[in-house]
Amino acid sequence: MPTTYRDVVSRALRFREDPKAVELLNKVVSSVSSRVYRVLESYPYLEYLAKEVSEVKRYSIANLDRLLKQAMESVERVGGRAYLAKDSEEARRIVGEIVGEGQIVIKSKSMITEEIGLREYLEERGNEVWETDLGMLILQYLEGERPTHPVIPVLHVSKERIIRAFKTRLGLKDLDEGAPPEKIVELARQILREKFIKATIGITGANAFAADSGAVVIVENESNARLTSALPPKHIAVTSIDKIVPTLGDAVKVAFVQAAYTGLYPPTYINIIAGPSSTADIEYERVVGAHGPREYHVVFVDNGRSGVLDDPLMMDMMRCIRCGRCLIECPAYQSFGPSWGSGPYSGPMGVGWIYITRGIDEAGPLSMMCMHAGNCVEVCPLSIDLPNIIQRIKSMYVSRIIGSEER
Amino acid sequence: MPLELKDVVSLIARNMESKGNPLGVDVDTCVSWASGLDLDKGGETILYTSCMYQMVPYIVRFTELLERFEGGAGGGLLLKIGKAVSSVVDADHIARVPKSERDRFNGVLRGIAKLLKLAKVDFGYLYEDEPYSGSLLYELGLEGLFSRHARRVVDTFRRFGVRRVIVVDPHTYYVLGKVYPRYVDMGDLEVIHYIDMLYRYIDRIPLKEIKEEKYTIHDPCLLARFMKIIDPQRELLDRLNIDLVEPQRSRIKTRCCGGPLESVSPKLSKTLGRVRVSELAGYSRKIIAMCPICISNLVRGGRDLDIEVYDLSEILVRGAG
Repeated sequence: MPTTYRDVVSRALRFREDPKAVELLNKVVSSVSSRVYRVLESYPYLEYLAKEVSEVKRYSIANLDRLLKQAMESVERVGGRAYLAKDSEEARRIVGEIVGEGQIVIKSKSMITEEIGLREYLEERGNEVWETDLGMLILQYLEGERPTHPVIPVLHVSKERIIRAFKTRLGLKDLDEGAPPEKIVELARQILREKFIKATIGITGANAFAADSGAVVIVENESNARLTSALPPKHIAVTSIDKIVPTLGDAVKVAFVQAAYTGLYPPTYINIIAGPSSTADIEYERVVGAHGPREYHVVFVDNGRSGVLDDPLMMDMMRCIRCGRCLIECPAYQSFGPSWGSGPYSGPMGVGWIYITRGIDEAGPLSMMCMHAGNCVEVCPLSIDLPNIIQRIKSMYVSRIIGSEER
Repeated sequence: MPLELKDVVSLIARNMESKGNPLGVDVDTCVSWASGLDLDKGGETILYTSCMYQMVPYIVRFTELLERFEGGAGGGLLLKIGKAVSSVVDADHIARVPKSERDRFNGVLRGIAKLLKLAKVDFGYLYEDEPYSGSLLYELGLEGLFSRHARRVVDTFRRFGVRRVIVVDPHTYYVLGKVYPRYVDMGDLEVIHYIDMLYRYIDRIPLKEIKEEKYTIHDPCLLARFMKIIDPQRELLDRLNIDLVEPQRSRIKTRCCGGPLESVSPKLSKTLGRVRVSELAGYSRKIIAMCPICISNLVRGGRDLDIEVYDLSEILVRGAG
């Protein structure tokens, strides 16, 4: 965990010494960049949608208290249970109590669950926890790595490393050293298929949450979030409070924009989950628990977010939808990749989120790597003022470093 | 061993205190470019250099020095850097920066002055009273020092009755244009970039065709993205009818040169400079930049490449011969 500026620089220098990782980073960065430009050219309405989402998020953050209350009431109204966790510890405890012990738990990719360290916690409590997003599954079995991009979590890891990790730590002994990606995906699918069926708990994150309808919206391409939220008898959605928007329509728009600015548009799937599964086919009496989950739990996580609501610059940060667009065009991220981050957050937006969720000691050293090139705000679909947000973090950090006499 | 951030920022803060600029170069270094030009002292409109171009040879040396410390063992860094830097800037060692290098960057300013005169712009200069803008203080997050310094700069302009400041580099333009107003009351002080000024009077400048091989243009991030000066330099170059190459990452999509990271991690900064300069070298041997920091970083990053980095004004002056 980076604590000093020197650690951050050392990690970046080390990253540059790994030619394969640098090569992969270059490859992914340039192909994602051109994909996004292609998507925006092919679907011109997306830029208008982004402007709309930009305003929706501005309104939502400005009215967060009220929308959070409404969101929690809506969850209860549609037959779910709503919880509010003030920090990581409380969030872990709440989810831990819903899950219990000795369960098979499946998870879809979610930055908030990484932020609060949920998987490790549930494992410590004697549960078998499976990441079902392939990228996250790989990460689960790689030592000392963290998600490098909100949507492409292992973008700097070579296929050879993935195969080695799967062979030694996932027990896939007959996986051939030179196996093609298709083979790896097939084996992962076989392993996970059984887990999907046996799991008693499915945990997802949220790309957006609709306050009016108690619905979580999740965008994806693998269909694992769909299975995770549909197959097990209990679905737990963990969402940070900044994801709340007024209406279901707004939430779907957020999902569109998030997918587009990641370069994955149209997204293969957009999931809307507004309550436990149910049927009213017999005499129009609603029976909860049809083919999908009988229980729908939504855990809203604050973890430092409400603490910045009186600060206009950091409120702007709170509008971020984690598409990762700023990472792809940032010169520092393009060069230092995953080494420029901490926990699940990297790149320009990462510095902001790390500040909000972990404070200045963690975010400060990272902020020094920012070159204020301004690509981030230029490409951000919500035009979040990232250079000035990072500049503020930098100056808070530096004034601590040099001490009060020189401030 | 990475540098200790505190060492670097303290050193820069100390230089600001003793010499008024982050590298501690002396006043002669900053003002000698103007000798013989007969510029008025002060006046309503001034050319404001902020000593940026003049510092380029020293920035390159200072950064390469820091890089050696970054590569060496830790411990007592401030002391070592402190000694080494004072030796970089003391009178004996200034002579070690080859005269040709100093002449070249002084020449950039003389060229800009010449172009402005051809455009019939009247301007003065503050000579030894010209303050540094404080841009590096801001970029390093030294907000308190920066805001106090900004107030002093604006006071100086007021004292000399300055109403309009013609800036020559993107860093000074950005802090004066976008950052100062957040910290200090600028009154009716107008800030304009010399490229914009030349473009305003483009028809007054006798720019003629020059026969040259092709040039690749590198837009500074601050100039293109933050200050939106993109087309005027192209219009000016167009009058010279040179073969100008637009790299894939140009204009609003331009790519960082590695600055201003060089002050805190020369190695990482160089990595970025290297990426950019290799990209540009793929288009042509000759590169046009328009920022002293970009020039220092592209030069450092491209030491082993067969390239030549020019300032925009150096090319324009040739056409205005």
